[in-house]
Amino acid sequence: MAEEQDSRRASLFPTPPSFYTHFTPANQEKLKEFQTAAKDNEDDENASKELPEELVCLIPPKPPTDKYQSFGQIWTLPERHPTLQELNIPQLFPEPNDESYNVDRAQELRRLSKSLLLNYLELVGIMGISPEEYAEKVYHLRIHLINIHELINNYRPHQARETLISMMEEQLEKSRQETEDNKKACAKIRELLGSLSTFDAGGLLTPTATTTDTTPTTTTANTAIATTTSASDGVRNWEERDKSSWEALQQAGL
Amino acid sequence: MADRLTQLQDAIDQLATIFYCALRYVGTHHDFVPTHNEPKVRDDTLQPDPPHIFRSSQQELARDLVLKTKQIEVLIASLPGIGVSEDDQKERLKELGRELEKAEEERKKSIREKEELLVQFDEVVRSLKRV
Repeated sequence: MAEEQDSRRASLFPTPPSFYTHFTPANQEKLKEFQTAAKDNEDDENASKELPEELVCLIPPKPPTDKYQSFGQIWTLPERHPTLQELNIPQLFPEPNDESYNVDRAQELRRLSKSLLLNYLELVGIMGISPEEYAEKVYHLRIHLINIHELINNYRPHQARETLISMMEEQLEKSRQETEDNKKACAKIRELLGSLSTFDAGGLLTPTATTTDTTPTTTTANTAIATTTSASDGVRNWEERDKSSWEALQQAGL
Repeated sequence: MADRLTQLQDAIDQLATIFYCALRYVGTHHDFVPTHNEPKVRDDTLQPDPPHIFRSSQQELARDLVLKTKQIEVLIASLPGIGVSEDDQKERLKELGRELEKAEEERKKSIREKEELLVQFDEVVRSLKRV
């Protein structure tokens, strides 16, 4: 029975627990009756114990406070990473002391990786002389690897904060750049507006005014050029301004 | 690209794989050397490599090992935030948060200004049409 339960817990898609068949409307009715009955005589401590077996499952169990099991794995509450001591693995680095911890960690990592290589060298030596004594060295290698991984994983929150910092710096830079660009575009438009008013005062717009409104602007411009040949410099100037105004508008995101 | 820590972790795993591969290669491809005038031992499960290939393979494996170790050292040296304490990081984060808020406000202001100017510009263009 226990074996069957184990295999069920560890299987990828476990079957529902056997008591799910008890969840019927009739049983729920019955449970309600029992509960109201229990409320009526609250002094009776044994009321819940009198529940028939098929009704006990209808009352949800209390949430776990210490640890619980899920898919064959044991989880602690609150959830945390088990320390090496808890896993019965010797810890090869000193306990963290808050201040210079991060410097130490890199130093420890370096030391452990050197030591790992040295252990491997010893293992190779042992394999050359008396191969049957490999077990101890392999165990040492294993401990080293586990310790390195443990150190690396402990480092992760630190790296996460560091990544967050760099991301925020990037965003700040972006935001400032955008403000700068916007300001530039604004300055350009202002300049353009200023030049437009003087340009209007020059009376160069009058050709457009004399032609009918329905004619497309290109022909208007052509007729303007044709009619005001003497003012060709002015027209060139006008074209330049037109171009720069389009550029400014595009920059402003129009 | 993975972050530094993951890279380091992968490098360590690869190093362990190289450990295994090197020993296994030597174990399965070595030749036998007869002592004195005994006949040379034979093992049918072994396929000894010719000496020069064995030698160069050995060297390659050793080079891999050293390279990987160097790589690990470089990775350790370039881990982010070495020499920065958790408190420093938190302080920096707070400061960045404040700066970001300020920058965001300015950005919004500049966008508003831009939009206002666009409206103004639009009016000018329309008035030009009407002239």
